Amino acid sequence: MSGDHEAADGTAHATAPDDDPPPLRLDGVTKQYEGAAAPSPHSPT
Amino acid sequence: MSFTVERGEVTAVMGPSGSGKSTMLNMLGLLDDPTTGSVELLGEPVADLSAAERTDVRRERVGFVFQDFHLIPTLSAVENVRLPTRFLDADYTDRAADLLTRVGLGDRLRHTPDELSGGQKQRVAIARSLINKPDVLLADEPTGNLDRDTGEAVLDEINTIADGGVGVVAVTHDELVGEYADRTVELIDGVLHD
Repeated sequence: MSGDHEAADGTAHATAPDDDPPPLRLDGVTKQYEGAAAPSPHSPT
Repeated sequence: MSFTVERGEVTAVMGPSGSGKSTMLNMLGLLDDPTTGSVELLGEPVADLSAAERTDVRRERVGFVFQDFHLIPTLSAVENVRLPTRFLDADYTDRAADLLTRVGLGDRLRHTPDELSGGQKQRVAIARSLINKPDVLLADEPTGNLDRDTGEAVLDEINTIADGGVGVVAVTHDELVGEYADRTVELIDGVLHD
């Protein structure tokens, strides 16, 4: 892909070269909420 | 979890409640930080950005669409669409009107949300998400409150947006979204499966 094109919003955007970084990337993410992994003292084991 | 938002592509992220879809969307939208790993925006890690810088980047680069639209009930369609620009110097009224016209609501500019159908409200929300010409559109259950025909019209609109070079991620329970997406991934217990 290269060159300009008509975007959905009607504005001309320069199309990024293929080797441009992606707009967003998650790289090896994890999410641990505090306390979420710890079993409640009242949980069955 | 590793995941890339590609320009011009609609990705549906499906999974049961509690699988981590909202957490994933919040991290993509720079609303939440991962415990480990990194989030990169245009190739740059966002971890070192201040809260103010993140807000700026989010406003400039990321559009959001929600299941329940998040429209201000006392504002007209065009006022809702231009709302994200209220602290900017330029007047975005014409652009807001143009975006509404493009999503088929050119004759509803002065209508308030209670004068619009569910599908029309979602199209107002989509127009609002585009006001700042985002690189990425994040949609949380975009068809969740819509009947099938209206949902299909909204998904057509989302595909048109992607065709303009925007990367779209839609988290959803709705199989219809998967039918319209270029790629579908399933999230189960925080793990992505292609």
